[in-house]
Amino acid sequence: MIFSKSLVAFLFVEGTIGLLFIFSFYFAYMILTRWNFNSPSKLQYTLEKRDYFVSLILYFALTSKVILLPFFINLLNSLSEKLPGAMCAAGVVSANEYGQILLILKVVIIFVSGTWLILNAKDKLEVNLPYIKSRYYLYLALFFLIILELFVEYLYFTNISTEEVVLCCSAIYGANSGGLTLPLGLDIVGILYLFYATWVLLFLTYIKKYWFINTAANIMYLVLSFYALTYFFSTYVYELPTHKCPYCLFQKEYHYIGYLLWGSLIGGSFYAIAGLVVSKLTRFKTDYLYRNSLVLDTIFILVCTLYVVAYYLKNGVFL
Amino acid sequence: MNFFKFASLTLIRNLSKNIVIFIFFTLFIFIASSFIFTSSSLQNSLDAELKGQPDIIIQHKKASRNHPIDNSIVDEINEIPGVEKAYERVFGYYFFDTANRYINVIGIDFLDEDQEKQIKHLYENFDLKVFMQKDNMLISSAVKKLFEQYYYDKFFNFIVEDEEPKKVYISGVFDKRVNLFLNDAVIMDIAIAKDILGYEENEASEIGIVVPNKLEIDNIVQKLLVITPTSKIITKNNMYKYSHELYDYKGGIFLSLFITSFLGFLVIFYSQASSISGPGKKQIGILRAIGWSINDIIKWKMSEAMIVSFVSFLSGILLSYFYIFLFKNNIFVSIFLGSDNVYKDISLEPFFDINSFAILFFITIVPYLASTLHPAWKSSIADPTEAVK
Amino acid sequence: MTNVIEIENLNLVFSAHTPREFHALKNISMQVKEREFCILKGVSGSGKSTLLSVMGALLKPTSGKLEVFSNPVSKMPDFHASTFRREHLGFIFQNFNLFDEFTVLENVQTALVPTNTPVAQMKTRALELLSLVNLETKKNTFARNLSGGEKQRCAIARALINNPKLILADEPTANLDRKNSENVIEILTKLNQNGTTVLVATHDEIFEQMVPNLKVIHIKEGMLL
Repeated sequence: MIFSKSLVAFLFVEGTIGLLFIFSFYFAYMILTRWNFNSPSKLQYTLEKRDYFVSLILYFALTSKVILLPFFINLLNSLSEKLPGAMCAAGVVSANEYGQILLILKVVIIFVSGTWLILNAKDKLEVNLPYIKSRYYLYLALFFLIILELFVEYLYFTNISTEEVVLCCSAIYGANSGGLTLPLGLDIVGILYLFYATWVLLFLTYIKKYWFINTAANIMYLVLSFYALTYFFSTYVYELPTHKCPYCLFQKEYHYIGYLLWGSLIGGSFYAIAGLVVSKLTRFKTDYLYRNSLVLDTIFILVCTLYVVAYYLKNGVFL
Repeated sequence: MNFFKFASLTLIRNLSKNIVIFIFFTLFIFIASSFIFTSSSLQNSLDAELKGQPDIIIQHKKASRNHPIDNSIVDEINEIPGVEKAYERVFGYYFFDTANRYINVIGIDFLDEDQEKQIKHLYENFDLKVFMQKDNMLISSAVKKLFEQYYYDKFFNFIVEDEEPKKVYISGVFDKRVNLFLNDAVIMDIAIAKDILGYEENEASEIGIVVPNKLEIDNIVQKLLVITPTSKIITKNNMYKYSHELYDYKGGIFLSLFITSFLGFLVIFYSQASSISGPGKKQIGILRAIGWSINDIIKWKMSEAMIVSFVSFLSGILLSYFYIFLFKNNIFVSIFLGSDNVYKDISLEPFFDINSFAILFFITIVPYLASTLHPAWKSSIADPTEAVK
Repeated sequence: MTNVIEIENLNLVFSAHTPREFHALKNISMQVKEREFCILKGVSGSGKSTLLSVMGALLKPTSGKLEVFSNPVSKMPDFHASTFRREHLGFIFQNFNLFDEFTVLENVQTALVPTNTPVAQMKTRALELLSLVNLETKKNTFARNLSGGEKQRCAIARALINNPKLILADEPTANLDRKNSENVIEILTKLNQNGTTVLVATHDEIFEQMVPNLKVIHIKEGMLL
């Protein structure tokens, strides 16, 4: 078990959000089971009002979670000082089996709650709140994700030992790691070809409005970007061919560029997925969500490429 | 006019109702931020202090207590490849009986250039020749104050076991601003310090080792273990970790306590905010009748909460900044440093980082806003026909 | 002429299926046509204010049909109901219902706060209305310092800020003396002549004396007579 000011603050906010969800669960349950828009009963009017409370809590939760995510990354980075062997968040995340799950959960929760809020805004535009059931099934999923996240957080932080030596990023992602290999048996050049090709696909499907393919391509883009960033682009950020790590990017030495890179990448995927879900569930067009997605994906690829170009212009060679 | 303008108007025009919340909230933020300012400033100073420390330290422990270490291994260590320099270090607390205070006695080998340089940094007009002519020492301004109370303004008599009192002359006073951790220190030649602290000629408190190539440190530690298998070997990294642990741990405990008491405040605030008065209901009824939606009322109420919390946040932080960094002897320092040393004659180096700011935000503004969610919603669904009655 | 308000078999029951069950409105059917000046007449407790609240989508009826400008306002969720109120209705109350701690100008602007109207435009519009009700000189006076007549004129200006097509007034003259009442009715008549439909719940005789072509609807114990 480790302890620090940041950790106390972090767990406190997470606990507060969890409490709010438990608080609102009863309302949500009532809406799911008793909702009948055409009923003039007092209960129906009460449920309509309670819907506002649930959306208020979700709005608050999403905002807090989005602000909390960089704080969490920074917390992991600062904990690396306390763990023997860790140089950055990579070692802290891999300190036990819950770290990776927790990170993925956090991103999924932001995706789901963001989608919920967009759906909510669309619902309020309709005169008979037709999407309320979908919204509250989604809420149920989110509720269980939030509770699960609290559990995983508890398990993760209580199972970090300050005695055991953890791996540093070069051991996890470095040349001799053997732990993680590139997918599909590709080498890094293959990944890079695929990465740029996927962006072209994103662009074309956006122009042609093939939204389903666009969303699928976005998910592929997210996966490919992870590998391309970790094994190729990050070395240009660090200006060191052997330093391969997705987490050190968040550190001050590299001008916190990780927040921009990962933020734009995750934001890009979010808008595409939310765009597909919302367009399937409602009658509204979600082109503007795909536009946001493409803008963010493009920022990501531009910044990555710029690092390589800048390095080449400065040093006249590639790494 | 937007929601923020409207909210600020409703707040200002009902100032007498809102001022109590504002004052309490500011007070809470003041306490929390004073604490965080103090702990991060101390930690920052300690980090800076550690930078000047040797890369490896060897201590001798018996029954887990510090025990004098035999300085004959210094030469042997100097032979290890990669070691630039190994040297003995002497320091310890001298108990000043009459005043019931501890004084930190530090012995320095003035013939060692590096160590002499550090002293020059502390005390500008340092003249080694004059200093070494007789038994002299440099003292901190806090120690000077203490000595003066007992009329020792030229020299001080250290009581030494089985010997005559050792008279050491005060040759200069260094400013405590230079180094927080020398606040209770007196600095003298290493031989005199050994005498006062009861060390033999061949003994020292610990041995410091300077290693220029940081990647070599682990290898050198292995070799040191061969030379002196029973000693405790501490690397600079360990020291960093230990110091961070100390401040972060204490800080974490304080924050937990703070959050608990803050929650008490929020419960009171919550119950006050969720009981909407008759005029309050009427006001909301009017707004609903002229076209405000439930969401608009919520936006207005949340804007009010945000204005209150941000204004309190800023005033609390500013107040504590002035208190912590411009006033001496703030009470928060003693939580970390203890108060049985010489004098709490300490002023902190201003230091503030974005992470402290974020922590403060998360433990004050976020719970405050969370506690306003339910009252805001509850007032927004107040019966709008109130206005028609 | 089209119907501005169309009501058929409207019922409102409070605390249904309990010992305190109370029929506030019983089987009400009525129409108000465009450009009509109409008063709902009845003693206090007869259900006038309740009917007005239902028309303004502040209260939801238990059963029956209610359409205002062909909108089924009683079935609208809050978001739409509020937008509807803001864009089509102007409410005037017996107790004026101004914010005492706000100035006249600020009071008139409150209805526009949720609309993202630019500040300058908001102010111009508010001043325009204040000159219509003869209150420009008092624009920076706090509402608590106004006389009764001035308060009601300020409230009218506030109700008019969005150019409503329908004005719902609940006993607007009950707290005013004769002269101020005449003043208020003059303003309402002028608005009516310019195309606004006006519906007033009142038991004041002065309307019948002053307003030409007045349509009178009597209400008693929740029923129309």
